[in-house]
Amino acid sequence: MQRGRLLSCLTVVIGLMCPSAPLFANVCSRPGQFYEIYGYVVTKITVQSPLDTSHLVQRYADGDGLSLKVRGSTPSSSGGDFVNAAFLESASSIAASLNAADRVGLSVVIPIKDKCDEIAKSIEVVYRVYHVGMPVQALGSTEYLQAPPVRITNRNGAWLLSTQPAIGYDASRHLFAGGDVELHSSKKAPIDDFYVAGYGSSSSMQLQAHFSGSQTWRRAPISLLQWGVTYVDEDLPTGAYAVSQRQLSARLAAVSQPNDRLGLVFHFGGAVEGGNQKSSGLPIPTSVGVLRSPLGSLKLYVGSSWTRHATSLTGSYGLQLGTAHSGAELDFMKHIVNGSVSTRLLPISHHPLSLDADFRAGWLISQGRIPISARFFGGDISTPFIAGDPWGIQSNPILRSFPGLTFAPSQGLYGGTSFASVSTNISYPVWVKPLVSDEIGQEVTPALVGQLNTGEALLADSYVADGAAYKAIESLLLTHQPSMRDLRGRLNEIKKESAASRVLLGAISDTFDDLDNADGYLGELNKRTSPDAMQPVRSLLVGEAHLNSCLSALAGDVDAVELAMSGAVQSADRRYIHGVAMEFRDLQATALAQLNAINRSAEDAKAKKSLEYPRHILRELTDSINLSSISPTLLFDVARLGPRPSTGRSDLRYGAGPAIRFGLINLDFTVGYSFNVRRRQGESPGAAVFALKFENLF
Amino acid sequence: MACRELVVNLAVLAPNDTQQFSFGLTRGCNADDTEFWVIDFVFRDRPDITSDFQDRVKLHVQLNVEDNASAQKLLSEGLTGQDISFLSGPVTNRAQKLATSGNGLAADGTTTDAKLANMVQAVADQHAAA
Repeated sequence: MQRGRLLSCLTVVIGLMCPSAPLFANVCSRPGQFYEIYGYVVTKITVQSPLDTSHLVQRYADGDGLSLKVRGSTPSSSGGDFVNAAFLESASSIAASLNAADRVGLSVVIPIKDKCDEIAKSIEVVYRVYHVGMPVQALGSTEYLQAPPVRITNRNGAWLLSTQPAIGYDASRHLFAGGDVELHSSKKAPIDDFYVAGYGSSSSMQLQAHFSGSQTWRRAPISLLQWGVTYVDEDLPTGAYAVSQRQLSARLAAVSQPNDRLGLVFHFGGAVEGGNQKSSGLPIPTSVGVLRSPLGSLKLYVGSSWTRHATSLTGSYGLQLGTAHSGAELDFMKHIVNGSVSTRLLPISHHPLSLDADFRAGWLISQGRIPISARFFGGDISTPFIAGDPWGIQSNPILRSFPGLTFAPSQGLYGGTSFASVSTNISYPVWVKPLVSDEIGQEVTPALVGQLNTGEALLADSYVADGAAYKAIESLLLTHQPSMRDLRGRLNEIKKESAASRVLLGAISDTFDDLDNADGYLGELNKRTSPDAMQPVRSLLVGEAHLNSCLSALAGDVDAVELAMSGAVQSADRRYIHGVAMEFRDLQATALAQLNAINRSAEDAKAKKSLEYPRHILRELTDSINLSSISPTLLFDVARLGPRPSTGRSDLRYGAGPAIRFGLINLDFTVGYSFNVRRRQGESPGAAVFALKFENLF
Repeated sequence: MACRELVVNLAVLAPNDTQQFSFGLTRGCNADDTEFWVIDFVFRDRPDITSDFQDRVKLHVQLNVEDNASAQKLLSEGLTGQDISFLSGPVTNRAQKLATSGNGLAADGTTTDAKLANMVQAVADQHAAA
């Protein structure tokens, strides 16, 4: 029943990047321009998406989301001329469209020219699309429930029916089977989610049903509020006892807005529960607990999560005030502490060393009588602190070498009053198939890295351009715009004079050219129309590749005009021209000095920080994430259940064993066996371990 | 190896929900079977998550790589702000003037200009020398 935890980090895989067929099975081998020049007509356009399990790509192709730009043709019609640029633009459009709704989306589109008929001059166009995406709401949060592996949705995505059957075996529950079904509506309604999970065997029964709704806010301190009503009916063997309880609860859960500076998200919530327990087994002293009683609780919790790249940490505290009476009498208090760490290191490309550790502790303080169902039992089953709550606090020790809930304290089989446990998995893949195939990775990764560098440079420039120092330079340059206007007017007058020589006219013409350039750059100041925000200032002031800056070139042109002036030109004009050249040189020198004096370390750092996440994503996609993998895994658990034995014997118990983890992108299925180390009389030798986990990839 | 067309798009929404990146790479093939690359980069941001995204930086560049090692290096290293300023300023100005004047117009409608080609090559050469 770890549904909340399992589904919380689910990434929806829309398509798979590694194709089964060769990527470039291009039938028409000539370059695209050949077919354009020779007037080939497009007879058919097809979008193929192998393994597009959710039909998202096809949905885009059928609807408005995909705008194929092949001239005269649409996805469903044909007859247009083949245009190479449009052929590529369409592929680019498909790739961008598919990523539009993703937090992280990677699309590869192979545009293929197919079935070229040299006689009929016809051609078919195929876009082979591979896409993997993680939806916007999936990152680093545990409050949203995503689709499990098997799902059915209607065409417009208004509702989603998902199901996850399961079967298992352990020595306590024997062969058990069941699964869960969830119906989720995307329409905003007070109740938009209905969920039922049930597992049964010859010795156990678990049923949980809930319906819930939620509200999200963008600006409030709380980003999500979720409410729900949950019904739980359980009958679980613990060895000497069968703990049986039925409860109905109303719960509320809230999630804070992420803290930008620290990256923390806070979770808090509570529940009011009521029901009864009808457990069975050996008689218990009333000072220890009761087998049959009403149940009532008020539960409150607070927790926090932190995720950065491939590492996530969580911590939680829960408080339960409980009663075993039908009134509001306080019988016991329960404190629960949870913590977890999950990280991946990458010693070798595509071979991540994964470490997952889960820490739990709790203690029970009696104020009257304690229902046995409230005492602590450990084993390979986790019992949630609040059933159905999305923030999955667990309230019992995990020791996977004990099947079911058969781990009980050595002092008595009726459960503990305190516990602590640490459960760890360490795995390393020995066989991998990378998500992004080598063919694509080697082709595009260097160019994507270069593009990230370009983006960082542009972003830093845009931040610099927002600064006061840069704006002061723009203002300084604009104050000289009238001088350029005057120069143009004066040169026009000189040009009209009959005595103007051809050399002078040529120099004036060159000056007009550079004045046009300067006017253009001055006109762009403060407007940010160029891809690079600093381009107008740089063009005016900074030379590049042995070329003078615009102002230097202009000053040189004006010098040439002065030189070409004959005696026929009035000396006043020559003095003016000389003065203008000086003015432009001084302006260029002064403004360039100001530009070079700008300390842009803060802006560079800000841009670098902004690009840090996309760089991480690219590294993960190309170096770390696998389409499929097989990893030997080491399981190790240590746990204790109090009270401490009066014999002085250590109450620490260990479970250890091997496992194999099968990975499919971010879905890990682990199967193994945990041995009961220092097994005691009457205990099972160990237990099989099955685990399903969705990793947070980014 | 024959040139093959390929399009890759990587879109990333930063965890703070206020920055959005889109990286587009298109590899196209010239008539002589050499490669050209089209780079699209869009960075959008917003002051807070309730506001609409605004384009802060938008870049669309076509690079003719051919077999030129310096151009390949430029592609993998990325362009500096100075490169982009030069390409989108003086180089674009000259190209626009050529297109308007009709000077250097070839039979296939493309424009050739030695100075323009040298300006572009100079950017690539600077990376090769680095």
